Amino acid sequence: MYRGTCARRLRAGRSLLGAVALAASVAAACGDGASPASSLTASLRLTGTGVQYVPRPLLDDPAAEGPAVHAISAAFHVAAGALGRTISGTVEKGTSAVLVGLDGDSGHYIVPVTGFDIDNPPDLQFSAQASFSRQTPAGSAALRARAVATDGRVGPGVTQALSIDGPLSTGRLVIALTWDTEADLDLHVVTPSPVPDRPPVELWSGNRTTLLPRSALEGGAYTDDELATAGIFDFDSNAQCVIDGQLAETATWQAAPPAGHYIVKVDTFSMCGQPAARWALTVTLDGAAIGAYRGVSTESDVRFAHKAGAGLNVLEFDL
Amino acid sequence: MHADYGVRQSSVDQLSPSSAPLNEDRFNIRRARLRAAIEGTYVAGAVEFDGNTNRGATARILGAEASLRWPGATSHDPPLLMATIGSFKIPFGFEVLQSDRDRLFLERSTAERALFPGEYDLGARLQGGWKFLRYAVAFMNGEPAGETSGFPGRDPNHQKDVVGRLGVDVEVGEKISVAAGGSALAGYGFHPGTPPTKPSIIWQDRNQDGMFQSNEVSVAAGVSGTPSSNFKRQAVGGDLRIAARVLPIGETTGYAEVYLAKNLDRAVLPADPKSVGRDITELGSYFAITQQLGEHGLVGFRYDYYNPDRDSTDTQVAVIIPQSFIYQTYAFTAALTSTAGRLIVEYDVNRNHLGRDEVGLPTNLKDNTFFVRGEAKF
Repeated sequence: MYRGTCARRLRAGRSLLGAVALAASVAAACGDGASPASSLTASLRLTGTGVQYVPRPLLDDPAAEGPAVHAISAAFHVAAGALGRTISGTVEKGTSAVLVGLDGDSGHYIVPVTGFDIDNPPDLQFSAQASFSRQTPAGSAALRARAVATDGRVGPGVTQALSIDGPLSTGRLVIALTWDTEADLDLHVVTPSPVPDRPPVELWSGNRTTLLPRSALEGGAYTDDELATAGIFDFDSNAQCVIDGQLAETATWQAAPPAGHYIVKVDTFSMCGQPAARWALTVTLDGAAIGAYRGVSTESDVRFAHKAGAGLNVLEFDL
Repeated sequence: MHADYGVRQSSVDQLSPSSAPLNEDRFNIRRARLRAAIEGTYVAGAVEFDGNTNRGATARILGAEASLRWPGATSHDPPLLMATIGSFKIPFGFEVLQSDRDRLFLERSTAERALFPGEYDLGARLQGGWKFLRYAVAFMNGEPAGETSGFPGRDPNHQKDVVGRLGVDVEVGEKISVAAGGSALAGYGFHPGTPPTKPSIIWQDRNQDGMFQSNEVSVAAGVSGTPSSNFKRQAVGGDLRIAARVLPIGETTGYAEVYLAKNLDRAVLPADPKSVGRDITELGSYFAITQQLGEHGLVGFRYDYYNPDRDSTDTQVAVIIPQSFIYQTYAFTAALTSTAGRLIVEYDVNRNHLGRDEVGLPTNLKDNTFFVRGEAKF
């Protein structure tokens, strides 16, 4: 295919300027071999010894007569932006590589087999490290694998279902902090107490729910209604600079949030070596935006205390 | 001064993990050099500064040397003996020492760029010539200016590399000149040690529920530090250049060179036998031919070959087999020349084994290039 394209372009050259443009385009298009395209444009990113990205979707062919994939192993539940996951599996003897991709993704990967499966000889095994783009659509997804024989025959696809969470939690009231570099930023939300006449409650990574602690003598375990109406802090992203790829923290109320005054703060816990982190704070109530703010954190923002009450006051609102 | 516009097949509009742009379709100042030199009868010296935008705007000192010399019989002859100390080109082979202004091809061969990156190193040198004989021997830090890992401009070990070339440069009649030589290098590379680490516990929230589970904890055992150590490295090479002025359209020049080295790669696939657990041998070669086309035209072709690890292996279908790491380049070059500068265009067909085909076997990763270079001399 490439040869024909090159031949047509060579015939098209007319002038010196045209020849220069022609040669530039030939340099960009001609030559056989694997594509150097970046896998950063795909939702699924695989790395590992000999792993090659192919910038086209992995389609299935149930009638294919190539070797079979016997098993795929991957965590069912993943979040968009997740890092450091492992995708592995076993394939039929005679397989030299496995094509792995997400159904509907812009590309897929060639993963060479690494060795014999000692539990099920003479099966072969493959493995790769996986991460997921933060733009991965939330919802159900299918991870597909097709074995490739040494003679080039590609076998039928085997799929494993995945459940992909979006980077932000959902609910009636959602206060979401997102940022763009691998820094450790923390969301703090001072909320009205769920119990009348009690002081406000601060929701942050050190206190993940608005439910007030109580002993067995005070009423024991929380009821389902109490749990359903509580404010929940979902995830401490990049905590202690352990990079997780999420770059988002959310406080949510699945039921009607308590009326009163809310204060939203952003605490820059650590820049984790990053020069700056551009962050965005959004507040949505029943799907409608009621507040938004953008800012930038730098190393100078780290010097303050990082405990309850910490952070820069960004938004205040009343419900 | 070399100003380029280039198109590279492997360019993508993304950043590398170290945040460097991966796009190479761009305008670039490849090198802009200012050189001042003094040539006395018994004393000589030179200083050369380089500026470029290869990795962002950069200015650096490149060459700086001071020499005492015993002049040759005539002003056209090389000195019988010249002792030099400073920063100068490594005296190995032909291509390392060739001036960027004289070379038709935009860059040196892959093997040369791997074994002698940046061409310049710090040291002391004795060189000279007598009639048709040419010689040079130098003691050098062994940390050339362009190495991608290591300590360019510094020397982490006290041993020095010994490098030299012995050759001939003769005129055969009025129309043919021949230059040939053999080169060798022996020295020590440096394997950096590692600092000790403390045992640590790592929690990774694998199911991302924001809660701690015991199966999400792993232990990284502490390890004691390891000392730095040195390793031996060697290289031998041979070069041959023949220029013939027999065609009416201009001079025809053919030249070739071969390198055989051990643990010397300092740029393409830096060799560290202490890490790999075995010696790494490199083999490189090239041949080139250039043809003058009248007073202002010059065309050329060069094939170069470089294998950075002749003993590398790969796992294919669960079996460990020898793997080829060979890089090959076919360079097609043409230039318009004048005394003030040149306009050069070059198309390089680059072949490597960095990609994988659908069967999972190593294959070429597309990386052809096209460059236009404007060169001005002052």
